[in-house]
Amino acid sequence: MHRFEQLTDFIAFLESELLLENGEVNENSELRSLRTWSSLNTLILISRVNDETGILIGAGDLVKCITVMDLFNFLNSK
Amino acid sequence: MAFSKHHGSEIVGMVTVLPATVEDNLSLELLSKEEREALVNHTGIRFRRIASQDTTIRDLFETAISRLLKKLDWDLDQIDVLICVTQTPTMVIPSVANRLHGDLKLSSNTMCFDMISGCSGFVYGLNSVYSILSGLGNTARAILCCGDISTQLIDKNDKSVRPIFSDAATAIAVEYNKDNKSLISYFNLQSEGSGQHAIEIPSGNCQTMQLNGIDVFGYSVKLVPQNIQQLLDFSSHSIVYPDLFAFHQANKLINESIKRKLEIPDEKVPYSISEFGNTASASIPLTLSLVWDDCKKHSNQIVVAGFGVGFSVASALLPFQPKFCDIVQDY
Repeated sequence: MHRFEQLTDFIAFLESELLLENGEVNENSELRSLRTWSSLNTLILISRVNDETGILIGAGDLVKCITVMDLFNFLNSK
Repeated sequence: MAFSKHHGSEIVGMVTVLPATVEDNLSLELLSKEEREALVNHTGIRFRRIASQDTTIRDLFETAISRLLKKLDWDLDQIDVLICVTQTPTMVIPSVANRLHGDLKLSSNTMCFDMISGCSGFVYGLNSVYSILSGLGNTARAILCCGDISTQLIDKNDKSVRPIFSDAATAIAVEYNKDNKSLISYFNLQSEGSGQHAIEIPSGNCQTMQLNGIDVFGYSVKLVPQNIQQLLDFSSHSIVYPDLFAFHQANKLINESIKRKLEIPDEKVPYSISEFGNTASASIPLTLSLVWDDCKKHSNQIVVAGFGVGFSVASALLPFQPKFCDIVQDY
């Protein structure tokens, strides 16, 4: 079982890893519209998700995730 | 599974040649100040070497071989094999190895060919050298050249590729002695073709390197620890046995993940990436050369692991006590 069982935990993780303010992200936030979203930060996020959960997010997987909720659901489907 | 075991071959010397021109990622105008700092912090890459437009990989290999031969007491007619591993040969034909054979006036008995290989190329090339030498007689000698001028394949406005790649070339001298049974090396060479698009130069007008960083991370972190664990199982050793793990210098995010998955202590995993960036197939010998003065007294059995374009993964466990590992920084 990985650590992102609660959506609130995942949102806090995203805010921390992407250097965003508390409350800046919600479940409907579009990933690519996040203020600090970039190719480097995407790689950092994927690396940290792998560290925390052992799940590897592929480029094809990420393309299908539009919102924060999509990514959360993807991780919970693994 | 492409496992192999070789007796009697050893690396006796290495020379790595670097272009003198240095690019500092913290001064890269392509990126904002925040992007530069984040890039250096997370990828670990600060400085990179850039060859001039009129420099070819043949030039760097020739300089490396010349320096290598000066330090060895080898006659030119004693070189049985010359293999050049590169993805940036400049000319399609003849091979870089054949051109160097002619320019260096090597013996007509020298076997020459190129291998098109990238970041796993050092290990693939070394396996080929060890395999060939053991079939040539009681003693034999080879030179393996590895390297690329990757910066000539890069779109200078590509924020995700330009800050990573760097230019370098290495020449490695290998000797084989049939009677030296105590020299045993193990190799595990693998390929994962589903990752062929992770790093590529597509055909057509856009002849620049395209890098899918997410897929490179995924393939590397998934395949490299497995490959190394299989290698160690094949050699009947555990992860604590090697004195050193010299990984291809991809970026710090990837290499640290691999290190953590294998639970290798920091002191056994050297880096050259901060000073020299990702130098493709030259990165492992360059890293070994950078730390050689510090570790030569207590390092003997090392693991080397290359991974990248293909997607290709290769590792080896080998004795490593060369007479010298030189770096020439002013080409």
